[in-house]
Amino acid sequence: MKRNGMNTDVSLQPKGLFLDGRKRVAYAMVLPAFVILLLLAVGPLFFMIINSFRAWKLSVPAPPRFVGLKNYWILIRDGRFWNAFSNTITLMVIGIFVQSILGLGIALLLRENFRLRSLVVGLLLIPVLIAPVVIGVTWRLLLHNEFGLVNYYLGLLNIQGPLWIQSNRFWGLFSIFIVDTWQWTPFVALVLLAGLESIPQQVYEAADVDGAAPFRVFWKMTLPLLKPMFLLIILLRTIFIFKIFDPVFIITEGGPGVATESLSLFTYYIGMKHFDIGYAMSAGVIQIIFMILLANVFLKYTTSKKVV
Amino acid sequence: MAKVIQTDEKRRSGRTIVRVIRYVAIVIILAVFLFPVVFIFGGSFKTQSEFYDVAPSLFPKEPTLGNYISAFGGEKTGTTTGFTAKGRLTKGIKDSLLISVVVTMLTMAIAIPASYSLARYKPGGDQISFFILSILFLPPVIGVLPLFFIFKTVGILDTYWVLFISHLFFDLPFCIWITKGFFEDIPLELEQAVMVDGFSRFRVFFKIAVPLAKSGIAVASLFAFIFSWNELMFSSIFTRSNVQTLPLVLQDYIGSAGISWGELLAVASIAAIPGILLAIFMQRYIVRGLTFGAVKG
Repeated sequence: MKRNGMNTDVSLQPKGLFLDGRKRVAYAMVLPAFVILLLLAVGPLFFMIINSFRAWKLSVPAPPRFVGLKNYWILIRDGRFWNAFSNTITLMVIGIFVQSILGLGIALLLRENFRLRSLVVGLLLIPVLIAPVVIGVTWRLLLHNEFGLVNYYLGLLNIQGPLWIQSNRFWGLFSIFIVDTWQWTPFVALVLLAGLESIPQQVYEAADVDGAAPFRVFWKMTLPLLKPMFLLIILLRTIFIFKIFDPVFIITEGGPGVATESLSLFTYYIGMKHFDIGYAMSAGVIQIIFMILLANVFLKYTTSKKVV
Repeated sequence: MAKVIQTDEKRRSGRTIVRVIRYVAIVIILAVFLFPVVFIFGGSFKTQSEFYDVAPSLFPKEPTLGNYISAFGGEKTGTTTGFTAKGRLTKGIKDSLLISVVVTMLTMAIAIPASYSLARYKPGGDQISFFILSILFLPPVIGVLPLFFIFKTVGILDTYWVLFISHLFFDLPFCIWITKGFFEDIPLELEQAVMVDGFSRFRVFFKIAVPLAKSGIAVASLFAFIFSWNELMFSSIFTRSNVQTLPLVLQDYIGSAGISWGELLAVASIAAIPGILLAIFMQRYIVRGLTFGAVKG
């Protein structure tokens, strides 16, 4: 790498306490971004941690006061928080499971090249990039119990469609699950497709020589080789579903009642509707801790093995 | 000899069947994932009564531009924000465009040098990269509440500035992360070679690195644009009547009584266009972007 002594050495080597020219340039280039993110993220973080220890309700004229761990103590006994927690985890577990299986199916179908494949891939990406608010309002109409197309199509199959978002927690969550799956399955499929394409052809040639049955090849070779991709999907979908907000906010609005709230929506309502800032902040801190753990895992994952 | 040909034919016809099944399956999958999109555009040209048909169809029977006209002209929208319905959609489109474009330029101006530095010099080791990635993973709702009070104190609520700044919360870490990956793809030897030729670090950056990473920069810009264009939560909390982004206009339809489905879908069609164009024309890079660079397609 180092062909010509130190003056072409582009990497940074610490040289004592003083910043040499290179290092100064390096820091100067990152500085604006760093300062902005510090203000936008770390500022709020301190605000959040401090206020999570205070009783501060905008609906009450009393000034904020320090209450120690009281917000947290209330939070861990709050059924509504645990409901939001379990909704989020439910959407996460079922969503990831179903989307992985459907995604694998689609990836296998698209594996062999055909003439319009790139168009098909492009069309499949539409759900991923379309505005969540568009997705939300559209699915609200599609899942309308009386005039919605979904219930009409179900009716053609002689199935009595449910009331969807108007009925109860189960159907409400199920609606959100359908929309999330509709939106993200193509993405999962294309990640798995990239994984399939990265498997060297020799692997299959070797299996062919050994006369292995196609199903066996799939089960014993393809699937294990896809493992890093599945891990990546689980990680990314966990992160995304953990902060799920838009679909829930638009489709069920957390209802009926608070039955289908996600963690993000719960925090939002506590803060922006009930104006219980201290309480909302304590819920936020819990979510941050969880998120930092996940970011750590992701970073370890991407730095330890280059996937493709 | 004849036998060989026969089995060969058999195999070929077997393959044809498999292929046909495969194509049929792909068509079914496309239908499942695209019928809501067809519904958006088809519905935007329908008359209201068509939505109540006993046998509703995805496509309009008597296509009409009425929904677009009433959405722009604003005869009935039933908003509660105190904004005159007339011209609301026009303002929504203008504001969304302005905000997305300005945020994209701002993001890239800050992200390009930062990502280059992180890719090449790794200042602060992995800590800064980790910090940036952590922000990306934060639920936005966590930033929203404290930022509301901070922006209130600064006095920029319900201005364009509040969205220019707050959208950096998700656009900036994302673009730094993605562009960094593209800079890392440039071989180090190339930059070393021109430095031997007497290029300064700045010239290497502007004349070599940035041009070579231009596809990455384009991809990151388009992502920044679409994230900003699609964003709902920040705009709904930080702005009220001075600023009206398109997602807000659309969201308000839901709350209003007796909404016109056609008009709603007309607005949704307009809001959906950038995402659709991006999906079709940028597909190679979308998976890379949305996996934060972990999958290089």
